[in-house]
Amino acid sequence: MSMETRPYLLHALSPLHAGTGRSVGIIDLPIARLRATNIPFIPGSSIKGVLREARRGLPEGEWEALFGPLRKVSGAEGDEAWEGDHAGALVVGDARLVALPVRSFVGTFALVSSPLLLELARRDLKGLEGVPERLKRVEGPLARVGKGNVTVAPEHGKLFLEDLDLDVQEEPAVEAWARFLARALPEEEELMRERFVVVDDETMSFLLETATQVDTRVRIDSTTGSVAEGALWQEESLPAETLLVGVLAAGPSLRQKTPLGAGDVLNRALRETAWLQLGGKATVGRGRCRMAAWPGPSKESRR
Amino acid sequence: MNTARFALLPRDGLFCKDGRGWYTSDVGRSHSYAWPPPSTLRGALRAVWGQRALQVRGARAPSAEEWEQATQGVSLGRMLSLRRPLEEPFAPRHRMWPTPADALVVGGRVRRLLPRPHPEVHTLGTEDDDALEALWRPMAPAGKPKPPLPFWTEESLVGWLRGQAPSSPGVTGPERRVDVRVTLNAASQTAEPGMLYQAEVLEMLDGEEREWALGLECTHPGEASGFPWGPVGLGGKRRLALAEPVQAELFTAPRELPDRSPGLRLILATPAHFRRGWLPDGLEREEHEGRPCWMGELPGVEGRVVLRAALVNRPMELSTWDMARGKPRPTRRLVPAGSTYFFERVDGRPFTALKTLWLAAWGSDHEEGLGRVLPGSWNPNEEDT
Repeated sequence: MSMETRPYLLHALSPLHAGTGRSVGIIDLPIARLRATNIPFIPGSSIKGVLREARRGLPEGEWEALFGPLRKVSGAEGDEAWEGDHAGALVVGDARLVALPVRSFVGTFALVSSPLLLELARRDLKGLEGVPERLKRVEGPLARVGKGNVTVAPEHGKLFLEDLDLDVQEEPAVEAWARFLARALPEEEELMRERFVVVDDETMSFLLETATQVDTRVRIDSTTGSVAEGALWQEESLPAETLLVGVLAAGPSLRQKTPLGAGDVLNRALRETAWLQLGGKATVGRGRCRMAAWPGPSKESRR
Repeated sequence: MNTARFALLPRDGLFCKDGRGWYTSDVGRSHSYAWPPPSTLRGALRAVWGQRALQVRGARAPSAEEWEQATQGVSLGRMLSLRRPLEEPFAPRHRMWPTPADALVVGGRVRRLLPRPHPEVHTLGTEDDDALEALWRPMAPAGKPKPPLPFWTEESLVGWLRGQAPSSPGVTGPERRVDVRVTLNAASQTAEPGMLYQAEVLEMLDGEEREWALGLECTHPGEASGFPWGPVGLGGKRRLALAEPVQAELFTAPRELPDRSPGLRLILATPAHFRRGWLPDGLEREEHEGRPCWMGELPGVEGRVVLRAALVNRPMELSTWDMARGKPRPTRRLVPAGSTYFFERVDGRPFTALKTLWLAAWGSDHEEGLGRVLPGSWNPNEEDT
């Protein structure tokens, strides 16, 4: 399908648990990750479902044109097509991690990315004005920062992340990346600029494994006031302040009598910064996110 | 007709569900092909073309007939599997090929299966086909073979076509991930009964930071520069695949390919659809050297040939979906990629134009990219594996 695309930035405001169900590992409820690279992601299907509810305010026809009609019946019986059935015009891609907040001994936390994560994001952002150049890979362990980064220990010239102490190199492209990402959320520019750090891919792999948030939870038996039997578990989340990049794509509406072009579909889906609740554990405050697109026209047509 | 050449890079992996239904075993469990069949790709390209054509005409919600008509001329030609380090432009060295059926890994070494006449050895078949019984068979080397890895690199395949065994047993395919999905009831925020399902996703970025992609040569009617004009919705759930233009050189035959050989060995690079199952179209039952055989003329092959041996993997059941009519098409049984056929010329002369057979099309449904072959040398008198 001849589609237009529009990248979006997802900013976690509280820990984000997009899980995969129960695992047999140490963490009972792990987050979704790409299997080969271990990069955390939020499935496009999760985002689409939440966005669908967030856009309930659209006129009924447009809402159906964007997201497709809801099934009339659950299960196998609902698979049959019916008169007027059509696909939604909107395609929601997965949101992949681009920067992970990591505890820093100086400056509280750093927003840590790597050349691989930025390269994957760069593909999604292609066509937008001012996308920074590719950041070359370097031998690690090493951290690259922009000027004025508040997480660098001034007396040591090093970065202390979790259990790692990393030599630091100043590179203007890192600041350019921070400023570019912040164009989607201008009010966060200062926070991103002064904390954005690019480590080598190997160090990032280590942090992807060790720097996520793992909470141990219990359920209390209300009659005894003690822990209910078998009700102790650990759940993993992406920490608050995590940044992810994803892509929305759209073709023209396939709904009869609701003519919308691909651009109209994207404008309705991403009309302003959306405040969404993504992933599981909503009732304990998990998954509050902001979803925002980069402003301004694309440098080149994505048609 | 114009030709577009591009690579498709699935952004979020690929979900190409095979013909098994959602409700055949565990409820909501789907199974994916190990690699997308060419027909899936052609379907996706037809959808791109049709959408654009109808957009230009200002039409909405086309009928099935309009859709068929608008997209009929979009054909898939040669299709490649590609794997490259991130950041490198695509080149022939990034081509990946299905593991040939005449290779066996025994004792850590790749061994060649060389068919020879064995009149006293019969197949386990029904014995109602004497030409089938008369086919040559390879003697398997001693030892327990290891399951083959699904892909070979360009270097391994080119050596193999020349008759040289590679040092590496091959490459594992893309990593598979199982995504579990559920539909939530917006009002109660609980799962809808019967709406928990699994999708098997092929991940295109592997742990060595190499990415898998599909190289496609597509012909289409009329002027249409820049086809497919942006990302393509590919496979189940319309996952996004980004398009990147590639050079024609990516599809050309390697220089090292042999041009001359006493016998001809043809390996299927993509699944093939033959009228009579495993038997290539163009062959008929005849007698040769006093024995029953399959003989005839094949597209692009010099002279009349006799089929000496066929190493054919289990059939691939291809079940496709008619998007325009919203119903399944009849399932087809295809000869899977990697299957290998051995031929001799009836007049006993050597084959002298192997290169012209590079990715030539055999069988039917060429427009879907089916039946592409790789030509290799074979010495019918060679016995040692």
